[in-house]
Order: sequence, then structure tokens, then C-alpha cells
Amino acid sequence: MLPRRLGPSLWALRTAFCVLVIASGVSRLGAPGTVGHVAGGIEVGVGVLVLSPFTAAAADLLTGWLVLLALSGLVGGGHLDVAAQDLLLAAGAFTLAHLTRVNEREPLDAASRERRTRTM
Amino acid sequence: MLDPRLNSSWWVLRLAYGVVPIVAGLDKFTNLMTRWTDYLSPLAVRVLPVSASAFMHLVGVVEICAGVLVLTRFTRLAAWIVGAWLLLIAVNLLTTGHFFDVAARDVVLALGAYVLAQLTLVREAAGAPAAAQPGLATARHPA
Repeated sequence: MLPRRLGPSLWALRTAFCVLVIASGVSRLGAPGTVGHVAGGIEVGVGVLVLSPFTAAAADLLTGWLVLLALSGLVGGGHLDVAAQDLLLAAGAFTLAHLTRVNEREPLDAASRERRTRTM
Repeated sequence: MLDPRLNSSWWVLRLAYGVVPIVAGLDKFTNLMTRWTDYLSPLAVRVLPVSASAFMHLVGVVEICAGVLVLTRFTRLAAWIVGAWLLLIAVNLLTTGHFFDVAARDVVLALGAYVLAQLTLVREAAGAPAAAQPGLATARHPA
């Protein structure tokens, strides 16, 4: 189980990534261009998925997406500061995926806890 | 005992929040990544007693120090500093009237710094010696 202290961290990351990704997607949908519309639609979908029971999978998708964005920024040579931001955001999305998975894991039963205590 | 997934998250966050501020701080002197003075609010430019580029050099020094501090044993303190710093950057960006997207990302990054501080706290608690827990040490190792 997730340590109690990390509960607000999970909640904060989940909400923040959901809002950020949906806002980014809606912003792309408002701009002209088919590619932007497709990317915007995908981002809105992933943002909604972050708040659904599939948070960990959505966070994995986000991590990959942000790393790709950062790499394309680094290779393209433009907006390297935004690429650096993308890398930090990817680290946050990676953390969101892990916190969610730890939180969803079943608590250890009494026998397992006893065995674990003996081996420590 | 800390879950290994929490440990790997801590390492990823620590490296990212250590290295990126150092790189961004160094770039305040070279402007290779972007022209950083463009992000400075006109309000701040009017108030500052020094030129925008000189102020950016100062910002660079602060970012380098914060990044180095994250990579030392003072990670938790440094994470709080980086988080507060990112919020200040977001406020500055909001007062420019542009760059709202970058400001929103900085707020999320500040939350990431908060999570790093919390993870560090949990990690330190998990790594505390058994003797620090009352009763446990005497039960396992009776005198």
C-alpha cells in the first residue's frame, strides 16, 4: 500500500496532469490544422483517462508522449527550454504511474507480513 | 521497507530536478536553449535595479545552486526551494500576459518538486535505523 503521506501527492499529480493535458488538447483543437486536431483529440482522451480507473496506463502513455516531444524538440533544435520542461513533466508522469500502481496493490496479508518481518 | 517502485520514482525525480535546473541555470549565461530575457515580465524589468540580462545571470546562479543541492543529501530542502522557485516563475510568466501554457506547466512541475520532497521524507523514514523505533530494538536484541 502507498504510505499515507504520499496520498496527497498522488491526488495532486493526478489532478494536475488531467487538467494540463486536457487544457493542452483543447488548445490544439482550437488551432487550425488537421494534425493539431488529431493530437488535441488524443490529448483530451489521455487527460480523461488519467482520471478514470486506468490512471497508471494513461500515465505510462503520457510519459512516452512527453519523452517523444522532448526528443523531437532536442533533435529539431527549436524550443530547447520547452524540451527540458517536457523531460521534467515526463519524470512527473512516470512517478504518477508508479504511485498509482503501489496504491492499487493489495495490502499484505498477516502471514506474508509475518514472513517479511522475520526476513528483515 | 520502501517499495522499489517508489525508490525508482525518487531517483528519476531527483536526477531530473537536479540536472535540468543546472543545465537551465548554465544556459542563463549562454542563451543557447532560448533567449531567457523574453520570459521576463515588463513589470519586473521596470522594478529591477539591474539589467534584464544581469538579473538572468543571478537567476542562473540560483538555479545551479538549487540543482546541485537536489543532488546532495539535502534533497528534501532543495525540492521545496525548487518548487517555490517554479511557482515564482509561473507568477512572473502570468504577469507577462503571454506564455500561459508555460506557466501552467511550471505549476505542474512545482507539484512534481513537492512530490519529490514527500518521497524523500518517506524514504528517509523507511531507511531509519531500527534503534530509532522505540521498543523494536530491545525486542529483537535484548540486552
